[in-house]
Amino acid sequence: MDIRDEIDASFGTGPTEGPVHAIVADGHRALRRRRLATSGAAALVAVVLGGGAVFAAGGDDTAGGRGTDVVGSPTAGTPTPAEPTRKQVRRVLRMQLADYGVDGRLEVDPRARVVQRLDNPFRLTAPGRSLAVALEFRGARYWYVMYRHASGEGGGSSTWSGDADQSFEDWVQNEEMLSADPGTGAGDAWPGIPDLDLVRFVGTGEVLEPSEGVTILEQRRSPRVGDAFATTADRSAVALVRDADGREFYVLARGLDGTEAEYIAVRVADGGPTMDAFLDLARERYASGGGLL
Amino acid sequence: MRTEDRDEAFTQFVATRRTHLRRVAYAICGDWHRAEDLVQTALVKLYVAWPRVERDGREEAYVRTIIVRADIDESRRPWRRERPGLEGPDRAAREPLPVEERSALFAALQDLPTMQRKTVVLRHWLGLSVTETARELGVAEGTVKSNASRGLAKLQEVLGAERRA
Repeated sequence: MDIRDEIDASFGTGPTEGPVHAIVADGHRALRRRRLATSGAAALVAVVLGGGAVFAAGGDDTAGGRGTDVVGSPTAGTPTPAEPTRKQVRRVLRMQLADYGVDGRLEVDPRARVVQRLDNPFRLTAPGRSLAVALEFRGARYWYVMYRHASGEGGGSSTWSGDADQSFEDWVQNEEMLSADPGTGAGDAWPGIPDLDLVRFVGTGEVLEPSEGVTILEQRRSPRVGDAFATTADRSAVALVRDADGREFYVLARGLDGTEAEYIAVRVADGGPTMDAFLDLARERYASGGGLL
Repeated sequence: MRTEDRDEAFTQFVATRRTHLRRVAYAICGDWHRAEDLVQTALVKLYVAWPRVERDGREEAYVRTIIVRADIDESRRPWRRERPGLEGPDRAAREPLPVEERSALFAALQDLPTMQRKTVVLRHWLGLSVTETARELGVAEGTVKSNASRGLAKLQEVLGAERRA
């Protein structure tokens, strides 16, 4: 038996694991908290509509208030009119009751009724656009959001309102986080990159020196990110660097008692326009327990 | 990516890899409760970063990296502070640990200095290369080699003594 097998056989599997859905729910909450922390409360404009059928919308459609029937806001606290079976939910969501049409306008299945609508909830700049609608279909409420980034990337999401432990507006804000344009890096709640060889401590001090091909543009000793990152007894530093390809990063460095120094790089696009802004982000992350990695 | 697609793919990953990941955490920290919390913390972070990480096909490495690095932080401050996203139902009511016979080898693994233990776990148990181990631990490859060599030598001593007994 080799060492790998010996170690593998040296302990078991531990106590019973908790339910997976609880972790998924925690993930949803983490996204929502991240969303609120970074963007603040969005000024969503809700337009309550009545009537069903296909109607025009899209980037050039701001014709809110077209309908007159007022239906209560489909929030989590409002009892859903009907509770479909899981099979029904899956079938309805596959039907795609609402989506952008080929002309870029919103199309809604004629059997569904729009009860609430949020115009451009992701606040995308033209030609980017977004739209969210709450629909009533066969007595149950379903939520849809769709978007197109200026980069051309787009998509949408849908859910049965009974599956969301939040309001329609909060769900839409969550989806904004999920749909962040990958080109912006805004979707990375923890933007740290652990494996870039950019800088290292000189000896046992707090001065950083660049790795080969890297230029240090600015550096500070003991940036005081918080005790969760490093205490005053530890050595720590932060640097703004440019690598051989011209890419710029912030690097947080720390050396804790008895451990190897750790270097966490964050792209400038993800870290903020200035080192102070980056340090504010780092302090917030470590204070909330998230860290940067 | 639609929420339901993300949830489904994430759930499938957790269902298939969670037990293994929890064993990795346990091998590093030596406490099942702490291992469970470490894995949950890492999985919540994975959920947030899912589209990017899944696209790169490095879901497990991502979680593993968080586990091996989070343990450094967790040992430095009150436990409850470092549990992003874990504010759901009360999880304080934990079931009692099963009676498990720890081998002398596992005890020796836990007695190793932190970096040696992590290095041995990644390099000699999980079979990662020196480069992969260095990347996940955030250290130089030379450090991996020296820690792996020293850690392995200590474990071999224990195994040798067990075989002679």
